[in-house]
Amino acid sequence: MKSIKFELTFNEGAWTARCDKFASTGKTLYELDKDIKDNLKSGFQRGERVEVKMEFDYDTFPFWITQYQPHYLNRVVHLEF
Amino acid sequence: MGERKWTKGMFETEDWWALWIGMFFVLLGIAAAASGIDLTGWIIKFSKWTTFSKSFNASHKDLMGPIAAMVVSYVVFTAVTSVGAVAMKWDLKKYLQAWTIIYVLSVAAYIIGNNAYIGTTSLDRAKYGIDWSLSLGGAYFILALVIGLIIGNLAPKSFRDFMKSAARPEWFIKIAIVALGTKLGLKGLQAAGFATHLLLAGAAATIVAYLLFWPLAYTICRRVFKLKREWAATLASGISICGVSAAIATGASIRARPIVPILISGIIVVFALFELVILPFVLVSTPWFNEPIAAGASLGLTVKTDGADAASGAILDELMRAKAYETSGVTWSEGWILNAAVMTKIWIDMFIGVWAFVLAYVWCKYIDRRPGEKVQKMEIWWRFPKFVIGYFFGMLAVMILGFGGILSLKELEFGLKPIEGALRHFFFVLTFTSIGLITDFRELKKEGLGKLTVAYAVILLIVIIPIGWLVAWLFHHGMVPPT
Repeated sequence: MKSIKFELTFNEGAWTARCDKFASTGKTLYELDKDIKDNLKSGFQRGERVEVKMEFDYDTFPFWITQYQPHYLNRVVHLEF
Repeated sequence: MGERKWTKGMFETEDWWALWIGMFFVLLGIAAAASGIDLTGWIIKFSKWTTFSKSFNASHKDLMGPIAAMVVSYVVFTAVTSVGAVAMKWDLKKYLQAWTIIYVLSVAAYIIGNNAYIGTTSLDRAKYGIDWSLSLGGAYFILALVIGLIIGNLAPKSFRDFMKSAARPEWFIKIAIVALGTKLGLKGLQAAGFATHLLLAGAAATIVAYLLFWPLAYTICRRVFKLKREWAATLASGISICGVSAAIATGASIRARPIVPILISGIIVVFALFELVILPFVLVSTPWFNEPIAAGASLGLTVKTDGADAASGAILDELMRAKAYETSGVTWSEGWILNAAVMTKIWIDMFIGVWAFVLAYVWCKYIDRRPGEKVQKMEIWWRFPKFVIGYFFGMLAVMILGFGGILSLKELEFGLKPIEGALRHFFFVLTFTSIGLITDFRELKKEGLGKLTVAYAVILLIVIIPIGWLVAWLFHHGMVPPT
């Protein structure tokens, strides 16, 4: 299964996932995943699956908090076309 | 952005660097013990004084004089923490400047607070040639905290922000806790049964607390305060597990918007400060005084953040020992009450990864289902507090070397007393100063925090503290520090 990595952020009420080729957004993670799938659609055949890995950009957290936990959020989502 | 490996963050996060720096000093102490070469006697040690020239000295006075020890300690501590700062890609120039200010402020607080007229008990006055004193054991901790708070709340914003570049209480306390592990090892060589009981009682208390605290806190958030799930779950974890660390881990587990754990973390830090300042004095002046180890353990269950918990345990240790000495002439061994506070907190910290994984699984599968989302078991390791490895390593290494007859208690104390004593104490003082610097009471005035703050206060007072006290008493009652 192909794997694609994204950097995840949250700004002004929406999640954003960025990879080399595009950025997807969504007010909820459900909408975000749907947008990612729509953006990837053209590169995959029906029935194919892709593993989407998202790592949250922890640099967007206030510096004073980062000493308490080393990272925020990692997501792994399997999308089927 | 590559594959997230188990080594992720090994040289980029404070948790790992607390382990590396702590272990560096622990191994230095063991090397000193094994070789007989004085590798740790340079560490600056602060003592009660009436004559200023006696306020500080090298841990081993024969090695060097006080000024040399002060300079060498500053150079070494600055060098090792700077290595970490560079590896973590901090602004080194800013860090060095702010660190130096924190260092000087901490030294000043330590010296002033250690004046014999402030900290000496009535039974010690003759030793210092004085006929009155305030008997305020641990005053230097409070003084460091107050200095930090004054700057953290009253200084211009640009200066406050500048100081935060080196005010890292969680980092400093984790280094100190790694050093503290060797103290428990040394104590364990003299009272193995007591140390084992403390270890096991702490584990049992933690499990009970986890099972009771979180469901009650979550239910009150949802039913009484009508908080939405993401706020309720994050606040419940923050208040019932390990504070800011748990709030962030839970926020991540339930895929909350980042603003949720960030705002709740601000509340946690302020309340942790209130607890640190109030609870030790409540415990020492109530019948809890007769249950010193249970009192210490109760702090581990009720005071959130490692820094505030260890800080409150240090204050309680000083206050209770001073009172025991004053009321009945009994000299309780230093550090057991502190270790009780730290031990329960460490067990709580260790399980946060498991809790975060379980919560993520339940949330993704049943509550907020998103098709195709997987929960990674590696979260348990990534969330595991790495400094705990150093704590247990120090403890076990000392006990194996001692009980195995490889090194004598005297040899181990020669090498490790400066680490578990002078170094640990100083990093505690750095922690107190830093807690003050990062605690901004203005956080509570932020929009939308009113209901959250009230919810936090109510749950703390009617759930966490009473149940924490009960659970601590159930598993630790009757335990008194060895003399």
